[in-house]
Amino acid sequence: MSIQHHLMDETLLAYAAGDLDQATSYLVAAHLALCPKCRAAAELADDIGGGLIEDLEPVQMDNVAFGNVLERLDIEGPAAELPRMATVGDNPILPEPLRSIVGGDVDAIQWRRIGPGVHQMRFDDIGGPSSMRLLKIAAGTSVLEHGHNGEELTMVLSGGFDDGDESFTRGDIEFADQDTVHQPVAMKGEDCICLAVTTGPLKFFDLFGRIAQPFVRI
Amino acid sequence: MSTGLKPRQITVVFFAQYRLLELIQLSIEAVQHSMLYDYNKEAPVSTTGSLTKAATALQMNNRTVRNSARMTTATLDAGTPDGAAHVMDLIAQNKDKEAFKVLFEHYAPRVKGYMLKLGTENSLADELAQETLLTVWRKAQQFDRSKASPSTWIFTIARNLRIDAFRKLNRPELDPNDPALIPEAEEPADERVDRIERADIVVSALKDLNPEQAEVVRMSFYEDKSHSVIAEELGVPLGTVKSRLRLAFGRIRKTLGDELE
Repeated sequence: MSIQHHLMDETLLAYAAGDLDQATSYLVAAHLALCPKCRAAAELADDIGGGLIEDLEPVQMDNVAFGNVLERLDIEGPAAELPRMATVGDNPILPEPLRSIVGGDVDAIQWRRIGPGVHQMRFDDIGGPSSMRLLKIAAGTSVLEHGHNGEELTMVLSGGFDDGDESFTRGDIEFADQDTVHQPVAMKGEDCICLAVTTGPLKFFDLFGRIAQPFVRI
Repeated sequence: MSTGLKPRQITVVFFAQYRLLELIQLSIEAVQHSMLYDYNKEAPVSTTGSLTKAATALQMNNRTVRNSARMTTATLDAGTPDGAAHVMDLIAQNKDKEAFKVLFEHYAPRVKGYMLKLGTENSLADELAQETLLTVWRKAQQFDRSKASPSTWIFTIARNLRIDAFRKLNRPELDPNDPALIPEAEEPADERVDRIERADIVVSALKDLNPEQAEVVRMSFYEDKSHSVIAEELGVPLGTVKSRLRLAFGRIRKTLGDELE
């Protein structure tokens, strides 16, 4: 099934401008791998950066700048790219750059149970104002109803979930903010794995959620 | 056979004749290419490799190559998409330092301006501009005119270096060789055209935006500000910043679509 829920243009613009924090950038990059339509839009957003560079007032370089660079032209640069992780199979579930940060495909994810039918893996090292986690919701399980203290972007990697009358499957993005209260339910038949990036903690209305929240840091 | 030669000698003669033919052919190609090269002021992208090969095979051609390079240098100009793409080709194919100088003189001061706008202090801005152009030299072969304008490509390098320098972290990006990548549906042949004009079209589209839309675009590219910070500074709701960006993007997308049709 093709992707129905895309990244918002303003998010692609922020990614092109280099304004997005690390966690959101991971989610954007992973979505771009799965979505040719957003990839084309992201290229257009890069063109805006190119246009602005072209249009900029040039600023005098240091006198020795060109000489400095000229001296370094024949010196071999550092290896241009970090070697990517060997692929586990022909059809990995996690796209790059997620495989690199997880250390492999889905079977390398270190799940920690945070509630009935719900597991997560947090990425605390990536810093920035947002936090990123992978979530696994057992087939047919419903997540506790919650609101948000900030913005939340969720991208489905496998399986899918229903939220109200909308369905989300691989590659789809759901956006939620302060005005959203929702209770996603994993589709039957397959566990739902998704990547969630939040700028603030979730708000649980249920007693169990509120008691568990400080321990699982969600 | 009555050639009076032993089989091994025959092989040698055949081989010598073959090599001679090959050398003649290579020199014809080389001369043709250097003519093309002069008249079109355009490096023959796919054929420069064989030009180089021929030049190495036949020392005599060295002068031809140097002459044609000198003739074109006078007219090199990185200020137009075509000119900049041509300069990029010369750098990628021939490691042409004259061409690199032209590129440096056009882009380094602009990249420095970009870094300064983003609040970088003068000497670091200069250094980051130097690093950007050095990276352009090293990665020149990755430049693909069917993917981007030279200025877009250079912008992405500058942006990524800025992110690396300030966050001490790489910018998370997709891997074009990822087996998980969903490829584009086959593009019709007539759409696989040069995309080197795109940045220039965007420049004119930006000038047509209403001032409020242009302002949020510039703030997000030049001030490294999140949308909520932009909203705060402009004293408008976050939703307004987002909708202005969306409208601006839609306008630019439409202009690009119209221009490229």
